[in-house]
Amino acid sequence: MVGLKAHGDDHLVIEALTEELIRAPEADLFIRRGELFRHHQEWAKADADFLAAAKLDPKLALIDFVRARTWLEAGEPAKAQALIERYVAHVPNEPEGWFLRGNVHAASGQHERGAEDYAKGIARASSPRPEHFLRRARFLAAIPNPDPTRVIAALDEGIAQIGPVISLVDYALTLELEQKDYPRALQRITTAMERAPRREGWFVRQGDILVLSGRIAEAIASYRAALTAIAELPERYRDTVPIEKLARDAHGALARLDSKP
Amino acid sequence: MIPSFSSSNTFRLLALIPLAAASVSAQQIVRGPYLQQGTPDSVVVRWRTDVPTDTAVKFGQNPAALDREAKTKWKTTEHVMMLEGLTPSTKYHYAIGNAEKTLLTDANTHFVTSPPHGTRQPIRTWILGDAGTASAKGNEGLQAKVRDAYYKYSSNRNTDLWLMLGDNAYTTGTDAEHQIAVFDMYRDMLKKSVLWPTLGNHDAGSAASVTQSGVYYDIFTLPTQGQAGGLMSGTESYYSFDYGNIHYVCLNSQDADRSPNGAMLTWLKNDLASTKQDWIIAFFHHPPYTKGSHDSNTEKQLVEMRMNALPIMEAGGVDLCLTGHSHSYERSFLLDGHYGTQDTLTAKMKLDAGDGRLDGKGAYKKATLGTGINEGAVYIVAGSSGKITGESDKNKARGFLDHPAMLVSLYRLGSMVLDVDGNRLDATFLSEEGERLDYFTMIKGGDMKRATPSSARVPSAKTR
Repeated sequence: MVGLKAHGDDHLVIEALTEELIRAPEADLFIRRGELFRHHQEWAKADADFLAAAKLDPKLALIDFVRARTWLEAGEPAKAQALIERYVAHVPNEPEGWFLRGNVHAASGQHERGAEDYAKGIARASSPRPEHFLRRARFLAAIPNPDPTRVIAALDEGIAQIGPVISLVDYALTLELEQKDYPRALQRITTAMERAPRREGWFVRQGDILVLSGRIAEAIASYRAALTAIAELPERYRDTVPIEKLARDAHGALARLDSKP
Repeated sequence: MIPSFSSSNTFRLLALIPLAAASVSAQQIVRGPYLQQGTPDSVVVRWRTDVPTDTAVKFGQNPAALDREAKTKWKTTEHVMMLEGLTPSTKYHYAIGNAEKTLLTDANTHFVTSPPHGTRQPIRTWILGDAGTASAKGNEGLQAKVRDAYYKYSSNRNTDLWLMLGDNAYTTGTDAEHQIAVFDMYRDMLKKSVLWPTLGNHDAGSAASVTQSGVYYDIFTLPTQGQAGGLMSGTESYYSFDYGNIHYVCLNSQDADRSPNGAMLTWLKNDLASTKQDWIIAFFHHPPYTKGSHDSNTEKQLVEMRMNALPIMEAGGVDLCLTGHSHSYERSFLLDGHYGTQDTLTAKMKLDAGDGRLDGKGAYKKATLGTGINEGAVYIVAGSSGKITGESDKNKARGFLDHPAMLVSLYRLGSMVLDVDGNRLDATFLSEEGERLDYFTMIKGGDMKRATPSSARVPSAKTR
């Protein structure tokens, strides 16, 4: 009856839920079955179950959330909008509602509002994840004529809160280089290197930025530090393709700098 | 009986149940102790009491004289105590309780700290996938049989660490289900060996990764800051750690962003580039290749992990990828570069189309001891540690176990045993009857350390 072949035991659970619902229809059982349909992208069946749950328990705010999530995943954010608005109005302290509304806004092209909602979700989450800060920053970057300083500030807020997670550091560095803000990029690399298990790649990046800054002597020192770090690696790591490439890059940069008048 | 869906809590689908028997008696341990986040110089000891008490762990190398103590004054039922300043590769005994009295110490309350990162020594890892059936109807006793077969197999050997590949507690990962399927089921192992889990779809029924809340995140203490080696991930949702010369990477294939430029895969790429270990073993729930009770050709999470994570993993030198989700055992050839549906697999992608067996066509060999870029990985689905879905249910949940990337495909209960010693890895799939149903060897860099001929009864490859 469910057409979920090769989806593990989900169809067995659906069948069990269906039997249970025949015996005693309950809102939570409809939601559970609807969630399984959603997981398998059977959007209409999922929504039908959620609506059946709403009939049994009209005060259950969660139904708006799961319906909104379903329609967003189905690629119909317009159908999700009113549902998620109602959910956050009912349960304003749940961070998940704000994150979902942020995603709905972004899917509708309203990235500014999406970023605002992510900020609200982050403020309410006890342990926000790197994804939240990264997505908020990407929403800010997707606004027409974006302000890079706002994007970087959003990333730095994440770094301050959860630490120098590479996805946030990397994106901030990219933006700072685009802005030619070399001093900040160099400072960011220095901070990242303090906690990095391996530093050879960071030294090369540092050298590249120092060259762009016109600080040639420091760049040479940085490339040399990279080669020293590579030389200190166990042989089995020195002989790998990426490390050999890194060493070639450092040697090449040094050759170019040495040949400059 | 379908577990109830909490309608009183609007988001946490099934909330943590602190303790049903709270009023029964005072100061009794009702969960644990269990070990988390082991490092060469620290380990986290956790347990639950029936009533709030302060927390104390006495520990030391002499079981008759536990000469050190870690304690806190605040009262809680969820006790989490990090023991620090430990010596690597050293056996410690411990006793848990509070300032007033010791509540538990027994023959299993001991652990061996991890060796210094990079150490080459024999390391045994036990791997369970989709184990959490406990006493679920129709699966009575299966999880325990798989457990007991391993206990017997490894009775003369310490288990250095163990992994759970998700769906650790059926049906919706409630606290009560975790109690039965994890804490009661593996009581002895939890006391003496550090468990490293990943999130499965059933566990996610009671956990919200979006906020790192819910049962899974409440009961496990996982590294977010690179405390156990590896690059900090900033989240318990995915993480890495080192044990000896192995770098383990745990991904969240369930509900993390699986996009190539998302936070998880950006972290993965950098984490793999940062490790100095000889071996890299990745584990997550949803298999990139399976034709068991799930289909990797069509299911979103499986497709995305294959298309987005595998290129990073293979370029980053992952040697072995452990997954569950399908309730079967499937084991691939040594592969590289297969990111499409099964019909896109070419002979060239099989870097070694042999069986990886020393007594067969020979061990899989990778040239580089360390990060061997695109030198191949073996992919394993080991999701039958608690049940086999669809054995009597052909054409429903059961797939045909015919993924061409797989050398061995079995509808058999069992768990995985990994033995790494220097540049050699031996993998065994052990049935609930104690049979070695599959095995292979991988050797990296120079010559193999030693060959151990297998005398075990082994079915021919490609058994169904």
